[in-house]
Amino acid sequence: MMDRRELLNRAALLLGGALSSGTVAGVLAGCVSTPQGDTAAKTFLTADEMRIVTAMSEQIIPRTDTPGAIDAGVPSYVDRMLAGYYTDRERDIFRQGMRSVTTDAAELAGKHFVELSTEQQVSLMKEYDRLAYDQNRRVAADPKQPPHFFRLVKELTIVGYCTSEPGATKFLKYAAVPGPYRGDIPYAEIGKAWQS
Amino acid sequence: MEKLSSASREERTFDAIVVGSGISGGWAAKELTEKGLKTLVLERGRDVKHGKDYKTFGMNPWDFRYYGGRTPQAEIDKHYFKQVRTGYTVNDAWNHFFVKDDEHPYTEKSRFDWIRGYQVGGRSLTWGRQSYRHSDLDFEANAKEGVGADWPIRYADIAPWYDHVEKWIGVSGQNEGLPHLPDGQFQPPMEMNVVEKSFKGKVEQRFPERRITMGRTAHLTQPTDEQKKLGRGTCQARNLCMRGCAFGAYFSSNGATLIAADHTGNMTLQPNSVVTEIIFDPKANKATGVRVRDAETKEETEYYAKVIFVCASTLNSAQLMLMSASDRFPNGFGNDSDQLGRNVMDHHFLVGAQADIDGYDDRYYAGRRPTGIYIPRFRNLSDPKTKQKDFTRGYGYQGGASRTGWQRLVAEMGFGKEMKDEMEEAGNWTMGITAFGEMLANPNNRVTLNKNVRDIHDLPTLTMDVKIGQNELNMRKDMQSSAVEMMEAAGFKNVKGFDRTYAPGLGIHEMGTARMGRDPKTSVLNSWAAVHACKNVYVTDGSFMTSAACVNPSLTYMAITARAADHAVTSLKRGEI
Repeated sequence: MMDRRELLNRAALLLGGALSSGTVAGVLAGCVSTPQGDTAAKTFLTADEMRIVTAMSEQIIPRTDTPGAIDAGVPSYVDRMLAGYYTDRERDIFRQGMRSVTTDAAELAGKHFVELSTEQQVSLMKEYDRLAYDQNRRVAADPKQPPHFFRLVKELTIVGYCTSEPGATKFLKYAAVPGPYRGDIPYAEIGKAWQS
Repeated sequence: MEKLSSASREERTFDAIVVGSGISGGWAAKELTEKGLKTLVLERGRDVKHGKDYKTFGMNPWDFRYYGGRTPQAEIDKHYFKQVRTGYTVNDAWNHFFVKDDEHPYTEKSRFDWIRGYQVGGRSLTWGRQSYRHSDLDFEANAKEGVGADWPIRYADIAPWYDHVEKWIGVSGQNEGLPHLPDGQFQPPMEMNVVEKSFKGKVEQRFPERRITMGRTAHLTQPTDEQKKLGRGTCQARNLCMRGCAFGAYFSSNGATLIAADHTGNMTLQPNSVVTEIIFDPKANKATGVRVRDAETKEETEYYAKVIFVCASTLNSAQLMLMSASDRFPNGFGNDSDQLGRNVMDHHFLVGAQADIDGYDDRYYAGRRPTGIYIPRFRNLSDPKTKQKDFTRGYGYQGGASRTGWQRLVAEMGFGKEMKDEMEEAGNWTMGITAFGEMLANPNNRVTLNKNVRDIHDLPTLTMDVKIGQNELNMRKDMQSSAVEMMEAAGFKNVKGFDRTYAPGLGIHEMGTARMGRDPKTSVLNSWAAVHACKNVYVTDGSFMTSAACVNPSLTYMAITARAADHAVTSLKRGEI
């Protein structure tokens, strides 16, 4: 498993620059709000975590000629799921992940994640994506293994988007009442993927 | 006598009592009331009115608190820790049609997955709707092989009742002319997709004894005038059936039999009524009625009738009969044979194969078909070439092909516009088939009454001790390898066989706890599904099943129920019961 130093080196390499970690402490100081331990609360994410989730979800599903993750309300969906659906195990993984994002961004560019350039955000996320993909395989072999936090971010973003009203109806093909079933028709007649 | 309701004995006396309102109880109610009997239908759970009480029917994925209806783990741990074992029954969209395990405990000597729905309509609201006939291959097997008891009926006895039930409930499907999977009264079948058509062509060519047909499913594709009059319409291919169908397109008690029974004016439907005892009069050698505990007030009341239909579901009917011990029946009602609660059967499954398919990118489908393809049994038929040396009986496959959707991107690498573009398009075709195999009757597979563990009504509960045997284990190997060989014959790629953990009960086809038979010494029920030792009590849910066959059993429950109701009314008229 790649350690965090290697991750940062690779992200920096992708950006064609060296690692600078000058103002790590200063950046970290800006996001110290302690989250509530109460899991029954309606919200889970701190304001700062919410900024990271918002930025990441839009990088995962950007607005194009169809709605993006923010248009579809993905950030608040992520928060709702973490607060009410998931267990402490996933909440801990997620929170730990948010902390490492903050630290990594600070070490990479001396800034908060949301203040990074798009290019910088993407380069870090690509590394997280690679790690999450590797971890997916370990989880597939042994379901007791913990998921990588970025897998949670990505899964929540994709599921939240594709089951939201904008994602289901403006991006995918959705039919609440499809009408009598037709089993074998040209793809062009539908033209895109069914929501379900 | 304990505290009784203030209603007079006359007000508490009916011609017939039906215990349970699920797929069997609904049919008993319809047939008995249509034949003129004043009938009391007792349901342990709450009322569920057709349409009105399908509270999630019209909800979109985003209308649920956690999109798509996902139920939080904490709630599963508290209420649905056994119901969750199917992998699909726990969801906010239909949790209200399943029991809470903390309210209705049971004890597992060996793992047993008991998936239940306690409400008016029972599991007819959430059933899989697959509807197949037994054949003489099934009815004769026990006698030929010396397994369990011989069925006291043959196909000719039940065929007209299959006709009757199929016509009335509406089954879509294709006649295939197979002696071991008899043809029926079908509405047009649903259509296969392009990959299934290709699979059918190639497999039937390579294996002439195998047939690929469309699942025979209790969905209306061409409703009859009679069905339309009941308010039922054509299937709209939502495949959200377990929420209840306000279109009345799939068959349920709520949307069909109970409505028909209500129209006669002869039915009294009483929810929240847990039957705790069948009352037996040893002098008359008849049951006189039942004792009921009100699920909310705990008040106990007796109701009386000339004939009683026990349709509480296989394990609950066994429990009721075990609780109804008396001087005459010290080991449980009608249990002279000691077979009551024994011979528990299910269909063992979760074994088969899956594969990916290249091509056909230009083909798709419209709607979500609420059924799949079916591959009827092809092992151990009358043709000697089909005989297997490692196992007796057989299995059929259910399955289907579809194109993957947006979910495929979750576990893949990549994000951003490129991923989004890919997500907008349907993915490649995949196909899977899973086998459902016959489980042999074994008297050691049994449920017993557990007086130490009590349910929410302070009633005893059940202890399960049921395991699959060597015949089933041997069969599973063939179930997997035959699936793989068909996928390969079809030219599919990445063919993977699987055998996932199966525990009895998971098929949700519990059967056999009060089997029919010719000999009262070795069976509980006679050829009419009436108790050998008390002929005005009929048991017409899965309890009566002498053998399991390998097909979904509900159609047979309905046919046997209709036949038993006819027999009961005839016997009453003749003064025989």
